[in-house]
Order: sequence, then C-alpha cells, then structure tokens
Amino acid sequence: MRSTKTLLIKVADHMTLIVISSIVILPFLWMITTSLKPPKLAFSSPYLIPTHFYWQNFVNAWQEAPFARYYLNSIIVAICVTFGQVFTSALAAYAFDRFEFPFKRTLWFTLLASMMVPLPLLVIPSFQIIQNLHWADNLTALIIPRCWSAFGILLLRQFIHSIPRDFDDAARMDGANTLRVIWSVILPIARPAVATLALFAFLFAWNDFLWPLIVLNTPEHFTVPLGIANFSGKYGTRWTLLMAATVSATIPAVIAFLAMQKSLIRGLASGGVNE
Amino acid sequence: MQTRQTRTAYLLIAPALLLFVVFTAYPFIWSAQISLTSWDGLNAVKKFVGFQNYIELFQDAEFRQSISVTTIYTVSVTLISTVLGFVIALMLQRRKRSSAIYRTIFFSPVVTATVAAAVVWQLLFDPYVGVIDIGLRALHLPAPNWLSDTNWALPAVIIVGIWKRLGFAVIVYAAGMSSLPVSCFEAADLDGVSGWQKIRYMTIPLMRPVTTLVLITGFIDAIQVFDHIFLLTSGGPMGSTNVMSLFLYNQGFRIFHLGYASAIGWTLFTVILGLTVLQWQLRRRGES
Amino acid sequence: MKRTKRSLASILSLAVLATVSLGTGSAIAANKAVKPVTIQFWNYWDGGNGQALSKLVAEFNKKNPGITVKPVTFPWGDLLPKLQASIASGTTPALAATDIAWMANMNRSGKLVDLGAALGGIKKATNGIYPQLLTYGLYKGKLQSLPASTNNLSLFYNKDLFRKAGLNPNKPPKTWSEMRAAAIAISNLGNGIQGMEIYVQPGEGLTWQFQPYLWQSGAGFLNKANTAPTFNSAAGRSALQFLVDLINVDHAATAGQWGAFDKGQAGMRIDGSWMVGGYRENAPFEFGTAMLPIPDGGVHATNMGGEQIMAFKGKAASQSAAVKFIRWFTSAPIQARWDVATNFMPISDAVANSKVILKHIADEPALKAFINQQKYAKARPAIATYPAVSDAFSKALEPAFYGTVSVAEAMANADAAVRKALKSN
Repeated sequence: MRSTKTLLIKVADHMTLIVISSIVILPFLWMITTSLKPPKLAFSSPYLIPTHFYWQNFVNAWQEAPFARYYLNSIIVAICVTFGQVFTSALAAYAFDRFEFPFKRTLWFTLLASMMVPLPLLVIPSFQIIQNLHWADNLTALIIPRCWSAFGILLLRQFIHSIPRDFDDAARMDGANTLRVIWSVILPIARPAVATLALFAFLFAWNDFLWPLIVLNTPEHFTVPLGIANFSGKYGTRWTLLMAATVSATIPAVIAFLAMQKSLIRGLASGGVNE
Repeated sequence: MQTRQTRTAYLLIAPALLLFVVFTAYPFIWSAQISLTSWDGLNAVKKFVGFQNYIELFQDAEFRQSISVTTIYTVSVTLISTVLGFVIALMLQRRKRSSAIYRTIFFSPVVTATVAAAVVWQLLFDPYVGVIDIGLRALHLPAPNWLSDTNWALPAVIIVGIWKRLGFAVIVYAAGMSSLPVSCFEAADLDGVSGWQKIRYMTIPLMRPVTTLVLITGFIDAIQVFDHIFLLTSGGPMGSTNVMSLFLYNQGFRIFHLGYASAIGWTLFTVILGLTVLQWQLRRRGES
Repeated sequence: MKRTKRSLASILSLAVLATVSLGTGSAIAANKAVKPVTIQFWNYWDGGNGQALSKLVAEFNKKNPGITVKPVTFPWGDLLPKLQASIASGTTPALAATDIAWMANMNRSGKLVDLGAALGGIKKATNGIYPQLLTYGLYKGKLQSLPASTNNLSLFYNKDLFRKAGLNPNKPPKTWSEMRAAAIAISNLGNGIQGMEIYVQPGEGLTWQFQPYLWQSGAGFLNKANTAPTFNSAAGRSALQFLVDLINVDHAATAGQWGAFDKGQAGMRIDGSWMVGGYRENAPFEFGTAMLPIPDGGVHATNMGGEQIMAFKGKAASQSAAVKFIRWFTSAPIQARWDVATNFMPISDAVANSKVILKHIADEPALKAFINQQKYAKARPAIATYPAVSDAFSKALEPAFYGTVSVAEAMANADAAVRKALKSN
C-alpha cells in the first residue's frame, strides 16, 4: 500500500518536472531551430526540431558581431563587479554590525532607501559624472559605479549578526587586525551569504543593458546584450541572423553553468543559512 | 576608544559610501533639480517650472495605471516564482541523478541575456507562427494575440518574468534544502510523520530565512523591471503593461519630457519609501 | 589598530590607482590621434543598411587619408537617450544621423555645427535638395543638418492571397472602398488570415501610420502655425471611422504589433520602401506595391520619413572632417548609390534622375509606387513638442481601434491631449 503511494508520488513528481521543464526549455528549442533555417523559411514549421542546417547564419552573425570580444567584455565586467560588491559590502556590513559610530542609523537608513531609486532616472546625471571622470566609452564606467550594493550590505550584515563576537575576539587575541578578522574569520563563515551576493551581483552585471548602452560607444567595448540588440532594428529584423546571434550569446553561458553548478550549490549551502 | 572605533568604522564603510555618494546620491539629487524644469535633455536652456511637473503627475491617469500595473507585475512574478521555485526544489531534492540536468534547464533562462530572451518570446507569443498559439489551437482552446491583446499582454510579460526568475529561486532553495539536518527528517520518518506534514511543519519553517531572501531579491528585480517589457510590448496595448520604469523611460527618452520623468522617479521613490517606513513602524508597534 | 588603518588605506589607494590607470587609458589613446583624425558617426542604420554605409564610408576613408570615419550603430530607440546623455555631458560624436522627428529638439541643443557657414552658404550647401526636406535642418535662419535619406509610406500587398481570394493580383486597390472590399474578400479565406494589418502601438508608430488617412480625407493634423490641432473634423473622424470599422465591424483587419503580413497571414499593409529589399529576398510569398488608396473625393497623401545628418561642435580638425563627410555623403552620386543599396528615396532631382537610380527602379518594379508617391509626402510638424503631441495623439486613439471608445470620443480626447502636449517643454 505504502509503496504504491510512494510510486504514485514519484510518477507525479516526474511528470510535473518534465512538464515545467519543457515549458522552460521551449524558447531555447525555438531559438536553435530558427537559427539553423534559411531566412525564407524563418516562419514555417517545424519550429522546435531542427530539420535544416543552414550554418551560414552563424557565419554571417559572427562576421557582423565579434561575439568572443563581447563575451570577454561581459565576463571582465561581471567578475569585477562581483568582487567589488563582495569587498565593499563585507567591510561595510561588518562596520554596521560590530561598531557604534555617529550617524549610524541615518547612514543605514539612507543606504537602504537607495534600493528604491528607479535606475533609469540616474542615467543622464550619472553619465555626466562618468564624463567628468573621463570614463566614457570605457569598461571602468560599467565596473566602478556598480561596485557597491545596498542589498549586499543588508544581506551580509544580517549574516554577520549571527556570528558570535567571540570569534572576532579570539582572532584579535592572536594579533589579527580588523581586516584580517573580516578576511579570515568572518568571510569564511559567511560563505553562503557571500555566494548568494556574488551570484546576484554577477547576474545583474551580466544582464545589464541600459547603462552599458549609454556609456559605451565603440563596438569593441560592447557587452553581450548590446551586441545582440543590434540585430533587430527599425528597418526590419533579420530573424535567422538574430537567432544565430542569440544562440551564440546563450549557449556558452549555459555550458558554464552546467560545469559550475555543483560548486555553486555547495557555496550557497553549507549549513549556515538556516541557523 | 570610541573615536578609534568611529574611525575604523568609517574607514570600513568608506568604499561603499564613496561609491554610493558619487554614483547614486549625487545623480539622484541632481535629478531632483531636473524635475523642477521642463528640460528635454537636449536644450541648451533648462526652463524652471517649479512644481508644475508634480502637479500634473497627480492628475495623470497614465501614472495611476502604471502604479497598478507595476504592483500586479511585481507581486505576481515574485510570489509565483518563489512558490514554484520552492516546489521544484522540493521535487529535485528527492531525485539524485537527474537533478543536475533539471537545475541546468531551470537556470538557463537566468543566464540568457534578457534582450535575447525577449526576442524569442516575441515569436513564441506570435498568433500565427508562435508555438504557444499553435499548441492552444491544437487543444481547441482560445488562442489570443498575446502581445496585442489588452487582457493578455500583462499575463504574457509576467510569464516571461517568471521564466527568467524561476531558476534563481530554484537554485537558492535547492542549496538551502541540501543543508537541512537529515537526522531530524529521519527521526520524523520513524515516528510515522507523513510527507506533507514534514513539509508543512519542518521544511517550510526551516526554509523561512531562504524564503525571505528569495522574496527580497525577487522584489528588487521585479519592481525595476524594464528590458523584456520594453522589447515585447513597449508598455502597450492601452498601457496594460506600462510598468513604472518604462513609463519613466518613455517620458524622458522618447517624448523628451525629462523633467517630468524625473518627477515620476522622485514621486515613486517617496511613495515606496513612505510605505516601507510605515510598515516598519507598524511591525515595531506589533512587536512591542 | 594602527595597522588596520594602514592596510585599509593601502587597499583604498590601490583601488584608486587601478581605477585611474583604467580610466586614463582611453584619454592617452585619444590624444595620440590628433594628427590623422578619427571621428565617430552614430546612426541606427542596422543590417543591410549598415553594411551599405560601411562600404561607402570605407571608400570615403580611402579617398581622404588622414580622416577615418567610424560608423557606430545603435538600435533606433536607444540612439536618442545616447544623444541626450552625450549632449548633456559634452561628449558628442563628430557625426550623427537621426530621425527627422527628433530634429526640432536636436536643433535647440546649441551643439550642432552651422553647415550653411561651413559649406559656403545655405544655397550651396543644399544644392538642389527638395525644399520640403530642408524644414528639419533649418533653425533660426541657420542650416544645422542635411537630409541623409528620405522615404515614404505606400501599400504593400500579398499577390498570392489576392489570387486565392479571386482578386486580380495586378490590380491593387486605388480607393478606400476598393481596399475595404479586398480586405473583406481576403479575410473571408478564413484560417485566421486577415485582409489587412494595421499598426496600433502607442507612440509615433501609430501616429505616423494614421496621418496619411487624415490628410487623404482632407483633414489636417496641426494648424499652419503648429499651435492647435485640426484633426478633429468631420473628415478626420471619417478617416478613423474607416479603419475602426474595418477592424471591428468588417473583421477584415487586425490591430496591434506588426507580424501578420511578414508571415503571409495578411493581405495588405502600409509600410516604407526600405522593406522592399528584405521582402524581395526573404518573403515567403509574392508581393506587390501600390500608391496608397484614397477616399472618394480625397487627395493623394503619404507621410515622409527619413534621417538628417549633422556635425557636432568640437575640435577644429574633427569638425572639419565631419563637415567634409557630410558634403560627400549628401552629394548626388553618393546618395544615388546609397538609395540603390537601401531602397530609400532620392533627396533631389539630381539623385532621382541619375543613371544608377533609373536602372535600379527599372530592376525593382516595387519601387515605382514609392517614387510616384514621394511628391505627395507630407512633413510632420518640425516642432520640439511633436514627440509629446504624437504620443498623446496615439494614446487617445488606441482605445478606438480596440473598440472600447467611440470614434467621436477618441478624437475629442486626442484633441484635448494634443492641446496640452503642445504646451509642454
């Protein structure tokens, strides 16, 4: 009796998973199939299973857009932003949790409130600042302004709060300074929170569109989203080329995730979250 | 000791604070100044109009519509992706071998550039060659012209929002569940506790911090949503998908009302901030 | 404690150093480029148009050693915020080509080069270019930009569907009633096939598609002084009524985003000459073009689109290089080749009558309708409030297309909204 019920649940589970994941994967099938069709057949069936293999789309897409370069730029930006956010957030979160200082509450509240600022609003004034710093058309402009995160400080502060102060004191007895305490005591314990922040920061930088668009002028500096955007335009969209570009821009990222997901999950987990 | 602590504290928050002041606070205050003008973003002259933009905003039906669209979008995407993410993670927890493949599938949309995703979804929602409508017709169900239909455009962009967001929730939940204390669950098994009861009384409460995290990050993402709606519907039809940042963008960068756009931003900021403070106050009163 | 401070300070200074060195890289590179000048040319000509531009630019660069023009393409909707940000912060490119609809705002920026002065007088600079194309470039008696291309809207129709519906594929509709009859016949084919596809999306797209109907029926858009709307007349309402009935009474047309005609699912659509090349190459059906049908007793009219090319004030060397490029690009022989590659319309008689163009039109019969239509092309008001006016107009009309508001009500709402928008900025 019990085993039939378990079996039933198992089958139901499996079915649900298959249904949801097929919906999720649908756009990718469509993307790949269309990217391999000759342009004239872009809108004729079959839509989900490639029957044509018109590789010329990829050749043309790569001729028009140097995707390797876009990838490199996107990776540089995303990695720097990730490290930057973890670094500044860890220091600030530690200070906010462990120390008392004047204007602490005001500062804390101001930082949190900044999460509610609508981003498009900042585009033009921020760009003027970038210009004054001579960072226009430079990847620096995508990195430095994004190297802090109110959410990151909030997340890490909450986590650090759950770490007993005895840990700090023990390390200090051994002669460690504050930075050392943060680096070798706090951060290792806070690894799940750090991993969550890193993932969030990386994805934010990876998907960012409006800001890079405003800042960058030279195609050699473009990131992946900007590179794709140029394939659909006012004077007609070339669907098969666009799909070839989209596939080129997506598949490596998916493969990278496939390769790294075990360590990502381990990083996110490791017990701490639930204490 | 006190001053030394202060100095260390300030040194520690300095990097974040510096970036915050230069790249968020300063531009934001600057935009307050723009909100008092009728500037188009190009004119060499910025005409001062006082609070005109704010007065107009409060009479603007489009603004009110935009607030409700944003609310519906944010709540639906955040809640549905969180619940679905939890359920999927729960299912994945029970299977060991296939979970890596499933996780990759669910996470793929997250790493796909939004621009690329929007382009594909635009065609999937197409009433003629779109797979969705072809499927619905095959099942003899009504097949709407999703992106051009005032009733279906918002659900369509919400579906894409969930699709894009789901993987993040799945991964974070999966990680959280993998670190649940196995021994407690085994003890519960021995006591004959049913699967549903274990979820209800053990998994859900234990997962509460993770849930908070998924909800907060989901909210931050959803309330600022722009890219895929911009590409799929540009806010139409009849404003049914005109979320806040899109409304602001169109005013500032399509029809040259940069002053008005800044007023929208400031009003929005004040409203959300006010609500948050109110909620804190209420919660504090509830606690005491 | 002291050590903390020192290490913190050193980390901070390292970060600052890294930032500064990253930041100055481009500045040094820019300084080196003083003698042979390299200038950027921002535009939104993507795909085939972009490739055609790159070819022409390469030729220019070869002919002018010391000048390197670098075209940079951005999506149409994104070029405007980029220009706003660059003008506000003084980082303009040397050259740009933008939508004529933005020109009134661009003109006020104070950053555009006076081309009349730079090219030896307005007359010499505009040399034979059609006068109605010059309205966008003139500002306070100065010429600040020149037409880089022009185009108009005509009727595209699907010959295969015409045949299937028992219509003569070589006799496209000439009047509104013929167009309606054709649309009904085609939509009667069933299977979700539509007689016509009508673009209904809030914003300039809807307005620019609808204005020809207004003008054909005898209604106007704004008055001569561009200070008040004139579209809410009996004629104007009849134009809207015609389309609304086609959609909601005859069920012969679909309203919404583009998509049906491209896929062979709609019999007709109004669009620009730039679509000809793409359809010739990729359309999964045989297509034809025709002048826009007009109502009984109406007049021929279409909308004029296109881009203006302009130079931004800057260093003398790059400014003069930009002016040189503009003179070259707007010259008749280059324009003729540009039009052949893009299927845009000629900007002057000299271009229209050139051998390359005449041969091109002979080779591509679908262009004939556009050439014939061009003389009826009307310019949209060249005023800074136009984008806001157009936005307000389209949003007021949109519900009428969806049948939730009556035609009279929609036009009255549009009238009020446009009056308000005319007072903005």
